[in-house]
Amino acid sequence: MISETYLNQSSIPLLDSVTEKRGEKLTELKRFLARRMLTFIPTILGVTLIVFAIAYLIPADPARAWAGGEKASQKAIEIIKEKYHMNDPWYVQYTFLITGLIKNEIIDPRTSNPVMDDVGKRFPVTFQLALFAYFFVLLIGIPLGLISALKRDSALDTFVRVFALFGVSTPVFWLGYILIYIFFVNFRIINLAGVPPSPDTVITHVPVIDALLTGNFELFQQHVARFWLPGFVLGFMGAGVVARFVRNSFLEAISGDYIDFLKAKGVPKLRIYRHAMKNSLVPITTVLGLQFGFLLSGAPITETIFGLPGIGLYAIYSITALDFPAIVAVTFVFALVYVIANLIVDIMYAIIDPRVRY
Amino acid sequence: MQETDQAVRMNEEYHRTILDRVSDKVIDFLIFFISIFRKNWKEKNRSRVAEWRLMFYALNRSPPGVIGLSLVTIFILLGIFGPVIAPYRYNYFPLFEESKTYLSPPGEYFLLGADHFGRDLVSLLLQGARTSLVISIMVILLGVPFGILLGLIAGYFGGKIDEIIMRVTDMFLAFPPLILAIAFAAVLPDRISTLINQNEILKQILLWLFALDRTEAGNLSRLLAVMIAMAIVWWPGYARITRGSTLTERESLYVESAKAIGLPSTRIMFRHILPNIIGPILVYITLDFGMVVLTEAGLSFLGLGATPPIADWGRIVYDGSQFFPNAWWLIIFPGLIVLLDVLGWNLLGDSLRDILDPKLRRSIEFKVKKKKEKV
Repeated sequence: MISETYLNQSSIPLLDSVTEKRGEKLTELKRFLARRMLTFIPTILGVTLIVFAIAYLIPADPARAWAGGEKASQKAIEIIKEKYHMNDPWYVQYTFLITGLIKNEIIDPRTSNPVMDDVGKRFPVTFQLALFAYFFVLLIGIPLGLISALKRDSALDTFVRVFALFGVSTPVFWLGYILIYIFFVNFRIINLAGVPPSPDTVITHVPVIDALLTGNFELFQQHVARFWLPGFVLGFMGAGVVARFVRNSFLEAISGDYIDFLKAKGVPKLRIYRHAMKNSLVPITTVLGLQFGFLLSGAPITETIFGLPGIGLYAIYSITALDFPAIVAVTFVFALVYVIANLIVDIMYAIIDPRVRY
Repeated sequence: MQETDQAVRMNEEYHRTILDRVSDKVIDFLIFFISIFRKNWKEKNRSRVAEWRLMFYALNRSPPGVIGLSLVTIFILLGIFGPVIAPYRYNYFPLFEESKTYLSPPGEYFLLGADHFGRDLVSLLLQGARTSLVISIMVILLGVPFGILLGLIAGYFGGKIDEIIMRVTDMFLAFPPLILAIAFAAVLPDRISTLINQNEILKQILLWLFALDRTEAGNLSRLLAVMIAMAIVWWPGYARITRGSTLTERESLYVESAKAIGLPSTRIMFRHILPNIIGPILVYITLDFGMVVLTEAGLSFLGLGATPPIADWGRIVYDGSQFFPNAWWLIIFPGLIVLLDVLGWNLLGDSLRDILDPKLRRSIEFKVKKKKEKV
């Protein structure tokens, strides 16, 4: 491929070759996207299979528990069993579960709502929490990583190292309660009860962004006040990991031959850093994308500590209530978000790095 | 044989630190132990033993590694002997005899305070060390070999088999790890409980492993469910790593020659490829051990796994959080213990990564020898 364009360059005017290259690149990108979408489908199918396995492993008699435990009438149990296809062969159950989840027809026995409605109501809280955590990951992780790369082997570099190490080793619940003790019990500067209301006009379904977009700054402030500490706790682990990663990939980029060339040419320092930054961005994007999935994974613990009514907490309550449709639905939604996040990372990766050959 | 072994030691006689002497003693003991069962093992594996010694010398020269190894050793010892040296049993409730022990703060009745049953926190933490250790070892023992096996098969045979195995792996990797573990840990216990009830031997083994009394047999299924759930979450990562390194090893000359002389595939996979790729996998296992401890604590904090009166670090925090901030000791101390445990594994894993890198190890060897010339 490269040699071909090289040959062209000598015969055709330069401009032509550039536009041709760009056009080629675009079709290639499109082809890559199509292929990536195709692999997306079996993954989703696999996800439904595992979700079904979880549902199938459900203990023999949830119907009795839902109908009221020991004293449940036989008739009620029969009705529930029939409604949820509990006595049917596995393929009937599978289609029932998957179509039910997609068409939102499975009724949650605890709340009598379609189960996806319940999940949908709680999802913005979890998503907002993840956004706040992500904000902290970026805010702490990237500058800290860059500084420690520039001041290599200094005290700050060691600090970042230790910070990252403690980040991956600290139990979230421990950090959460300590910070609650500091900010809530001692200083009383945060609120831990309920969640501020969503703004009236719904644009993105994420309350804090909606509040900002509609200019409702008071509500925006309330949301920030409620979410910043949980976000920080959730993002703490990721921030250290990202800082380390940014440091390493920046150092790797700055040791490239082209940097020596730029130095020899007498390019100012800041511009050299810009070049190095651009090259180190590719691996950083990957790790940042993966971090979002990890943040979602940490949501149940953080939500339990701070009493945020997101889907993580909903899943935990569902477990204690033996509410299995809810567990299945939450697992399904989490997997969907995770898979989509990974997909976006892959596409970003292809767009950012022009050297990538698909 | 004996001479060269002696020579290796003589070379480093002058600059062995105390730690090096200790690690040499450990290796000597290990050799002694192995040679009880296998004759001539020592003579056949002389170079391997010398390599081990060097690895330990390298480890002894990196402070994080030493700290990590000692933390890990302490926690393993606590896990093994904790329930034995604990001052009280986990299911002894002083509350029934002395009502003031209810949530008594540190130093009043017990060194680190008591929980809402009046139980001594030190004893609970010691008992919890066993729970944590057994669960993490079992998760690694169940998950890792399975992952390695699938990865080897996928990488070695390639083609359709590879495709199928990797698609299944991708299915599991499509879930956020903790979420999948929560789902399985929530669903499995009722299925497993019948299995445990029917199988008396399994029940006895589990009770013995967790150092529990017979009365807790009903709660074993929840512990076992957590183990299985986490093993389900853990194997895909190993399948992926092993496959990657097997793919590169498959092309190398020694595999080709092994194939040429007609060795069976299983022998090539386990005797030739596996020893060559086990280094990085060991580092992953060490780092993952910390993650397993952390995840297990997280799961039990969410109310999955151990139920009272079974002691578990995450569960102590979960129960203690009902009385937060008054009973702060029920959160601070177990959390700190988890932190130290995980930190130990991470430190050890980080320095293992350096040590298992042959280039770096050589540089350590060089350092050791250079010093001798000076002397």
